[in-house]
Amino acid sequence: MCFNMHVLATWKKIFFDRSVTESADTFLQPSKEFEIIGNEIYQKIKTLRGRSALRIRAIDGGSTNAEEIELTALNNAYYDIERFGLSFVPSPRHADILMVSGPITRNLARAVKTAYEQTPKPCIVVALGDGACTGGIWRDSYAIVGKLSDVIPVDVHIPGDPPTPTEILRGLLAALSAKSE
Amino acid sequence: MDEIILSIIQMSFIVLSAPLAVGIVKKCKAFFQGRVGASIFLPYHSIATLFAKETLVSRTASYVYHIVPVFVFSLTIGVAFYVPIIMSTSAFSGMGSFFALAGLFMLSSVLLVLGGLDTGGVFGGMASSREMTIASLVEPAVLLSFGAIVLHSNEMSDSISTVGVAIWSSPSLALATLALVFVALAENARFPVDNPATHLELTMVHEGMILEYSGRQLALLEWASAMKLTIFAVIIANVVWPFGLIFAPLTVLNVTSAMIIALFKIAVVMFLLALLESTIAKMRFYRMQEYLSTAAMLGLSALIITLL
Amino acid sequence: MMLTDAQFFVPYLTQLELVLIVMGILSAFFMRRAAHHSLPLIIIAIGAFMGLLAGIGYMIVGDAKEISIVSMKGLAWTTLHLEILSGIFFTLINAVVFASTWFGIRYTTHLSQKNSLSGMHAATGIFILGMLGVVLSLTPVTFLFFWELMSIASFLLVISERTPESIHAGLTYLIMTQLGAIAITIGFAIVSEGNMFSPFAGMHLSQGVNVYIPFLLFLIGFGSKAGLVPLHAWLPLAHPQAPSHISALMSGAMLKVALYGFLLVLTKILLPLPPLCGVIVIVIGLISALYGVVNAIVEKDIKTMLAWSSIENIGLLFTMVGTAMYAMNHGPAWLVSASFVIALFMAINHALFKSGLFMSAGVIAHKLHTRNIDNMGGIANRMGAFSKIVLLLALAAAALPPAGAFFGEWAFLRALFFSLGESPILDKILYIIIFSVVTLVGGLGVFAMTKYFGITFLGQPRSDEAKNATAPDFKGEVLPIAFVMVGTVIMGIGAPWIFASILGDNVKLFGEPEGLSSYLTHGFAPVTILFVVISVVAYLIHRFIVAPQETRMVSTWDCGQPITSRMEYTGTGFAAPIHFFFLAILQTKKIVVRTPIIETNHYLKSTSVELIRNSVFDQIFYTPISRIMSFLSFLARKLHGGAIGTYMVVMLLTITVALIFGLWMK
Repeated sequence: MCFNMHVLATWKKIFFDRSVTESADTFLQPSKEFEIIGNEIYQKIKTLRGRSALRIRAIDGGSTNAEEIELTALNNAYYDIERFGLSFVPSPRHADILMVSGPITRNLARAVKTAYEQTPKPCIVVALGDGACTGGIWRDSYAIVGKLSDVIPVDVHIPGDPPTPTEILRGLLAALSAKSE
Repeated sequence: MDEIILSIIQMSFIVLSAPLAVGIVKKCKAFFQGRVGASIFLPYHSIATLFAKETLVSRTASYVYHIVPVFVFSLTIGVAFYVPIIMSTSAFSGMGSFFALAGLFMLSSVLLVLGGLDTGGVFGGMASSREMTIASLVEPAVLLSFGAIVLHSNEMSDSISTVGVAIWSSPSLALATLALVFVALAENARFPVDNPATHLELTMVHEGMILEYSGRQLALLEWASAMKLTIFAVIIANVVWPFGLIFAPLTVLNVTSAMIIALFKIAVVMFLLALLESTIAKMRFYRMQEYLSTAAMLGLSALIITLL
Repeated sequence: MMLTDAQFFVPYLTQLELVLIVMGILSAFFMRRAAHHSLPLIIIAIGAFMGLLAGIGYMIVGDAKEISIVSMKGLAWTTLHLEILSGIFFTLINAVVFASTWFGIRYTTHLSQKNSLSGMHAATGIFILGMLGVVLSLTPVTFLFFWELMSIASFLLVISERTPESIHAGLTYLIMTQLGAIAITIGFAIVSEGNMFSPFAGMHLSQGVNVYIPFLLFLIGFGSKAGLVPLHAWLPLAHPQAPSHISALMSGAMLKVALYGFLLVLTKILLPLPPLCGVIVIVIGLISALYGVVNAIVEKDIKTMLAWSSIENIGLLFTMVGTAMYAMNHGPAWLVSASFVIALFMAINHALFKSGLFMSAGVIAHKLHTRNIDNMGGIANRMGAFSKIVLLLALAAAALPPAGAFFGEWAFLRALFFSLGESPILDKILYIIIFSVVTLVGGLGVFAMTKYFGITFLGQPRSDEAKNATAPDFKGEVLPIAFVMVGTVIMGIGAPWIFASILGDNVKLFGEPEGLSSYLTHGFAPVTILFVVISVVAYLIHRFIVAPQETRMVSTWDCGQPITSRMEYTGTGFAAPIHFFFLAILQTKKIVVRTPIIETNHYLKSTSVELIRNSVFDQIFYTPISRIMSFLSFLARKLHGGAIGTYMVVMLLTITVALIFGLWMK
């Protein structure tokens, strides 16, 4: 069975033992800007008519995975975007926001198109990173179709190679403001 | 008339508090991961969001695909009406039988499985096969554990009732409750049977079947699974701690206090569930027969000890 | 005479039915032109409808009186009659016969061997006549006569395609059913003390006869016909080989006739039996149920799968009968009546849904040109009405609400559960074991039926035939199946009344302890009402909340790569977890053969995988017996040397032994 002594040991560690790592604020000031933007997004989402929680589906259109690392960082304990009403989901059918990263390669162009078609409207399409915005250093390469807006309509571009989590949130905020107007 | 009102109050309570239960689990899990986490009211917002979106239907899908969400949702509502959850016994005589409860939940599992198969996707079929395996093999454990509990509270009735049951009153009840916990984890697709938060299709069970749904249909399915979780949570809490249930007179005070206590119970069970999910790993699917036969054996020994 | 008097209309209608069936057989013999080929089935179907009316009328207003149908002066032993037990089986056989002959009218036009259709119809008529005769007969002689009629006719129907497989299946069936018939004959000879012309009612076990001998003979005889493990080997072979309307008859009606025979000898002659007999029946029943359902789950051929599922159903029925037999000695008195009544109720249900499922399998196999479930799928939309009916039938067969089988299983489990409180500890443990195995079998039964519907009808078509399949004929093929489907739903909605009716009729047989009927059906009505409300709510939600939402058709979510039906889960894949968990029972062997495509290159190989299921019972039961039989016949062959002296010696020895035995017996 999976349920054996190590579970009890873990519980002891959680509740009784001293934390083995220092708490974050002893060596890291929480990024004030990130908090502010996040809270603004949270307020903005609440004003959207009929929708007050947004779900994100991340799609790799052929990126270097730099953007994916930043997206993963959004979920970690430091950035923790769930507290702003945003979450990641496994299927585009469940999603409100499509985040596409990387220049759109020939092999993945169809995947990106299908995913866009399979996302229920209304949805927000985000071009994440320089690759998706402009093609980046791969622009005019024979292996890519082009930038994201050559494949599907894009609502907001978030440049950067890769953009930082704060920049991603700022971009989202801009998109939401544009949508809510 | 009182009976109908009481059952409807209970049903509405479950329908309305179910998203909160999911919110609490997520919040607690975030706490164990050192995060702040989403608001506990986020699931309500998610459902509202889904209600405002369009519905996508696969071209392969048949009428079965459309039957499934509405039927699963109304079946779960029906169970919330049928089984005593914030009442001491079922309002109507002849209601609340655990055989019927198992049958209704089995029907909703079968419908989910058919819905997963209907779109002809790759992951739907895989998740359906797993869900069907779990649902069919957990059946003995469900009936045996409920049987042991019901046998304690009243003889010659198969209605789920927790009158006169307290977990410390008999060792068999402890075993039965443990079996019920195993069953509840399997039925609700939680750890160690399934990972409700997974994004990886190959590990999905419940999520895989609803992968194709969108819009209001998805909202109904998520709501139904939250209701099922809440129903199991309150039943388990009632077995462990049969307190604060509504007895005969139907007064505002009575109903309000029962609801507040039930909410408290939901919160406690959800905290424990989050604790469990944060400390154990998901089991390999092909070891599921060990888990399920352990559950059945626990139920069996509970029943035998009850009868000794 | 009032028209409502059962004494008046029941014999009349039943006689009419028998005459019509005989006419049907004769018309099959004499009107051999192709234009008339469906006439016999039409006549038989009309007759069966008369019989169905008679049976239902008898159940409702019959007052459990014995009614004689045919009686000849001076030949009392040929009397055909209806009484409380046979009334139920008479009704269910007629319901199945009506639906399957109606279905057969259209279905047989698809069969390839058109020239022998009239012969097949004649055999069908004789088969039906045999089944009806068995339940109507009064004495062992008529019983055995009709039993043989039924067996021989069904053997002819099994081999009607004349393929090597069907002949193999038919011969297996013939041998096992004849061995069973021998066992039954010897059993009757023992209990009737040689007078096979006396009615069953007067028979009893005489002093000094070991009760286990006739009991085991009857169990072997009727069990081999019913398909109990380990005498089940013919069933998964023979059912798929027969045309589908015949499979429906064999599974829906003939297996229940075997159950009727067993109940008849139990209630009229053998009971009360020692508790060990009950335990034997329970153990055999539970093993049959579990073995049948696990095989049904992993089976690929849809008709074989339904045949395995029939073994499961029969196993559950015998478990219920065994529980009643056991409880007669030990358990609470009402468990006896409850188990018998539930067994009868479940027999009706199984007859209805299993015949409907076999007919649906026939339609599917005809439309898709295959019986392999892995080549099906995607036909739910193109066969709208048909698929909805099969969905309801599959849910009924899975014992899910609102069908009758759900209430039957519920009542049986609850009866076991209630009797836990008031029995000695050993009985409690036995009941708990029955309880757990029945729940396990119930859960796995749901799996089998979900697979049957889900893989056959849903998803993308897995073959070109499935892609191009057209809807079946509504009047000729869908309506008969709808008829039995409605029957299962009526059994569910009307469960409280039907239980009360069966119980009321059988009070004399098993006795009715205080308040049993309300115990049995306690809580049924709320669930039925709840289910109706749930359906209405579901419809309203769909109509007013889900349907008004904008809908867009898209392709199935494929993660970016187009998916084909080759990537879908097949029936084998769907059942793989159960296959893996029950390897000990299934004894599967996986044979992987890798052959290099080019002889010089050992890295490029074509791989073929084959799964072979071995039967445990083949290894421990059939193979040793066949070895012994061939060894004995090898020895016997030595006597066949042609030397007349040897023959004389053998005859002399035989006569001497017979004389000594006869004198010793005296």
